[in-house]
This record gives sequence, structure tokens and C-alpha cells, in this order.
Amino acid sequence: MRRVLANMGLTALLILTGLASAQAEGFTVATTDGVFDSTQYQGKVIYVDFWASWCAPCRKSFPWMNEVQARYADDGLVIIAVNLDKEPALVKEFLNSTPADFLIGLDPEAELAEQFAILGMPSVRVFARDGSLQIEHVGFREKDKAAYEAGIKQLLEQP
Amino acid sequence: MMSLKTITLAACLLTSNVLAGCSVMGVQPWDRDLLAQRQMQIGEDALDLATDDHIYFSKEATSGGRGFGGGGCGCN
Amino acid sequence: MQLISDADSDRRSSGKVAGIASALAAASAQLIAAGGAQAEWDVNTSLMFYQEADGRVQDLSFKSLASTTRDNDDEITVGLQLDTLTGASPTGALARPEAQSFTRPSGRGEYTIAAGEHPQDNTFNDDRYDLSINWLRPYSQDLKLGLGASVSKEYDYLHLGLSAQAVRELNNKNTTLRLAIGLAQDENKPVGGVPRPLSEMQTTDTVLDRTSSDDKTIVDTVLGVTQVVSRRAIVQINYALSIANGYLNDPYKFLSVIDPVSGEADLSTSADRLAYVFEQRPDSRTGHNLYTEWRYRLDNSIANLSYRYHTDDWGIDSHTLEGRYRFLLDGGRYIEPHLRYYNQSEADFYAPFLANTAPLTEDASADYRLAAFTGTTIGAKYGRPVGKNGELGFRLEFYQTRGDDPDVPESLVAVNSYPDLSSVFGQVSYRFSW
Repeated sequence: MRRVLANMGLTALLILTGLASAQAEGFTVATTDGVFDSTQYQGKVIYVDFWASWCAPCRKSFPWMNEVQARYADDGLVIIAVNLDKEPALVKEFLNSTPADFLIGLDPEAELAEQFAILGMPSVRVFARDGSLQIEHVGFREKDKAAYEAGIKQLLEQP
Repeated sequence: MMSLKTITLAACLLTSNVLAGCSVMGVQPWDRDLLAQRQMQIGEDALDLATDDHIYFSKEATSGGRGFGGGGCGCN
Repeated sequence: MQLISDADSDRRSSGKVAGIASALAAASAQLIAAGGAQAEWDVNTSLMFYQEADGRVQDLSFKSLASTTRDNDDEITVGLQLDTLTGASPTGALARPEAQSFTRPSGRGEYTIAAGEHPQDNTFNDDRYDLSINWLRPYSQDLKLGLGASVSKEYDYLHLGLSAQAVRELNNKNTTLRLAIGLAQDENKPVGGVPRPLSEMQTTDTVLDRTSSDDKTIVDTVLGVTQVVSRRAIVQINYALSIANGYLNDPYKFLSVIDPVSGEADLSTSADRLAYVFEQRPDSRTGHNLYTEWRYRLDNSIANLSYRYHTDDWGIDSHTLEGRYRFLLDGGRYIEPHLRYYNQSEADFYAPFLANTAPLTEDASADYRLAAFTGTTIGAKYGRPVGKNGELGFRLEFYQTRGDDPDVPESLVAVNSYPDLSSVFGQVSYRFSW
């Protein structure tokens, strides 16, 4: 009887851990030079931005993401901007006129976008150092830049 | 000549039916690439339309009813 | 429309309008200047000429629309339009086998129309300017509210307008709902004053039966839905209600008074010329518009189809069907042919003439624009990119109207066909970011 209970308890614990780690499990996405695997960035704060060349607010967010990546790289911030364009030529054109000093993911089939169930463009998902999803928002607004940065700082301060 | 009551009822019915239908139509945010192009947006030719409307307003007995924006990239 | 003449009485109202217009212009200039560090204005400008055959109306128009999104996401649009219009327009009187003379609207002097010629007032010269501003602010992810104002002024006409709108997005921004309401107050101050409706045209040197000006108020409401149908298709449906009250006549239009059988013209009360009576329209008009537009993106082209149905309590129903097909060429250039078909029924009170057997109490207007007719437009636009963000456009359109000849007595049929319109208009437009 005690064994059965212990088994049930262990199973329950495993299920709970499984649920928690489903988010902490990580994700992969192709990049401009290889593959990005989030499990290789354990202990870092990962900022995932979904964008496309035809999205005007996305264009406005790039200079800000460049600033933020540079400012917090040493503190452990990794930004990866996942592109959802269907035509690679448009991505090249965009990056030529709007340079990015952070990782660029490529998701033309929108597989990662669907996995993350994004609802609008641009969309942001920020993962804490333990891999759990902590921040999500839709849209990029100039007036909210300070708030976005505060959110990132808070996650960087956590162990 | 429709009474105001009839008009209001018709407008409500039209709106609710249209909205009910609208909720099953649409695309995912990442599929707005073509609609994001300026040429696909209703009202992008506002200048040309204003020119035309100005001419037709002075030559014809009816005018108005035209469009506004909506659609586009759906960003922000 | 008005005649070239002295401007004494206009100085007062010009002063008031100048005040409103300069306030509007100052506000616009301030907005343009204070856009914010990253403000970018999308500006679209055009020059258009319009010319009717047979020496009728000619118009030259400059138009500019500028819009921007500020740092706080407010969307601002400013519009300016300048027109200069000259030419002649049918007055509503019938052509006769003999010459006719008419008093100029100012009451000073006459003009003569030759035998068999369609009476037109041929000394119109009108300059008009139009200013508008619109401000739209987001209040949440899916709701925007806005206000707008407009003013337009021509020599004998003043328009002031205010509007408000609400835009709500649903279904992940696949559906956009819009409700707009507008209020306009227009003042008609024709040269020579407003003739009393159905009063007789006087010869010069007589005291004219007139008031100096008259007003009208218009309330407009529009309810619209824009829906994303698929990755390639978008559709819009609008319902608009318009209610106008006040002075809705055209002060420069009149009707011939004749015997409905013989076609013989009556003499005026003073018996020194033929009888003409100024028109009278109802003092209210309620109209409904239902408009729909479809845009479809094919691989190398865009199809655009729209339809508008109009009905009102003046008995006028109209259908407008328009199609544009844009061929997308390389280098960002395009060619877009355009077709428009328009058909309207006649107004209940449309009458080619007044019968001297009928009482002079009912609404009547012989304005050819209230008759039943069909209009066809065929044209094309060519566009090409210029510089980094600019686009140059060239458009040429041919517009023709055809109406049934008015129902007039036998003796006047030969000289009274419907004044079919044949016109051409061209436009050069330049769009850029600033």
C-alpha cells in the first residue's frame, strides 16, 4: 500500500515536473547560419521577437533591439528575432537597410510561430534564465520602450 | 422611404449577421504579407478618389458612401 | 458658381472664414512641424485638369494629402485643395427656335442665347479652397477614436464641417468596424442674392425678389466593416445615411414657362420678355448609400471591384459600378485600366419646363443633373517609383453622360436634346515621404 502511494506520488511529481519543463524544454529554429537551440543557452535570458519585412512597427523595433542587446549582452541577454517572411529575398533586403546586431531566426513555414501561438505582429516572448516563459506581448510602441526594457532587466536580475 | 426604426433594425441585423460571418473568416498574423502592401489597402488611393468624387459630385445627383481603411498588416 | 462682379458684401464673411481657415492652417502647420523626433510624413500631391467638350466647364485643381503617425501612435491627416473653375453650365431653360435673353444673376446686365442654342450661363469663374484635418488616437490594442474638421470656401459658398469616428478591431484584427458621424453647416451666398423659389426672373433695373443668403445643415452617419477574407482578399461594406435640411436649391437655375401643347413661351408679368421662373427643390433630403469594395491580389496583378447603391426621398436611385485592374510590372511600375458605370433615375420633381396650365406651387427643377442618365468613364493610370520612397502617377480618364431627351412639346423637340456631357480629365500625382 505504501508502495502504491509512493508510486502515485512519484508519478504525480513527474507529471507536474513534466508540465513545468514543457515550457522549460526549449525550442529550436533555423537561423541565418545554422540552428538555434534554446537549451544551449541555459542560464541566459532569451528574448524571442517574431517579425517580418512587411511589418512597419518591426522595422522601428530593430534599432531598439540593437541597443538593448549591446547594453545587456554581458549580463546574459540573448535576442533572437525570428522572421516569418515567405520570400528570403525580402529578408535580405530588409537586413541590408535595417541592420541587426542580434541573432536572426528563419521560420518561413511559421512552425515556431504556431507553436508559440502568436496573435499579432510583432510578438515577443521572453524566457527567464531557468527557461520558463515570463513575458509576452504583441506590438511595438515607442512609448512603451522603457517598460519593455524594465521587464528584461528584472529577468536579468533573477538568478 | 424607410422609417428610422426600420433603418436601425436593418443596420443591427446586417451588422450582427456580418459579424457572425466575420468571426469565421480571416488569416493568421504571419499571413498578412500581401495585405500589408499599400496597394492592397482600401483607401490608399484616397487622393485619386477625392479627385474623382469632386468631379462626379458636381455632375451627378448622388455621392458619398466611400471607404476607409482597415485590413493591412494588422500590426500593433 | 458665381459671376465675376464686385465683392463688397463678401468682405465680412471672408474675414470670418479667413479666421477659421488660418486657425486650421496654423494647427496643421504646427502639427507638421512638431511631429516628433522620428515623425515621417507620407505626402501625396496632385495636379489635375478637367475639360468638357463644347466649351463648357474647365477646372484646374491642386490637391495635397499628408499623413503621419506620431510617437504616441496618433494618426494625423491634413488635406488641402485648391480649384479654379471656369466655363458655362446649362441653366435649365429650354432652347427655342428664336433667340432668348436672360438677366445675369447679379441683376446687372443681360446675356443672349442664339436661336436653337441650349441656354447656358457662360461667365462663371470660381476659385475654391478646401482644408481638412483628421486626428485618430488609439485607446487600446483594438480601439481608436478620432475627430476631424473641414472648411471650404468659394466665392459664393462656405462649408464648415466637424466629424467624429470610432474604429474597433476584432478577430485578431481580421475585422475592422467603423462608425463615423459628420455635421456640416453650409452657407450659400449667390451673386445677386438668393432668388425666391418659383419667383419670376426680373429684367435689369428692377428690384430683385431676393434674400442675401441661405443655409443648409447636413448630418452624415457611416457604419462600415472591413474584413480580411483570405491571404489575397479583402472586402469592405459601408452603409451611409445622410440627412440634409435647409436651402437645397441651385440659385442659378430656372425653368421656362410654356404652353405644354403648342410650346409657345409665356411672356413675363411685365410683358417685356419671356417668362422664366427660379427652381424650387424640397427643403430636406434623406439619402441612403450602400457601398462595397473588393480587392484581390493575384500573383502579378491586383483586381479592385466596387459597387454603390443609392436611394433617397427625392426619388433618385443610382447604381455605380467600378472596376480597376492593376498590372504590376517590374521595377515597381504598374498600369491600371479603369472602368466606371453610373446610372441614375430622375428626381420626383424634375421637370424639363413649367406648364402654364399648372399651379406655381410645387417643387420643380429642370437641372439636367437631376434627370435620368447614364455615365461611363474609361481611363488608365500609370505609376512608377521615384527615388527611395516616392511614386509618380499619370492618369487620364474620359467621362461621358447620356440621357434621354426631355419630354417637350413637338415644336421644341428639334432643339432640345439632353445636354450629353463629354469630358476628359488628367492628373499627375507625386507621392513621397518627408
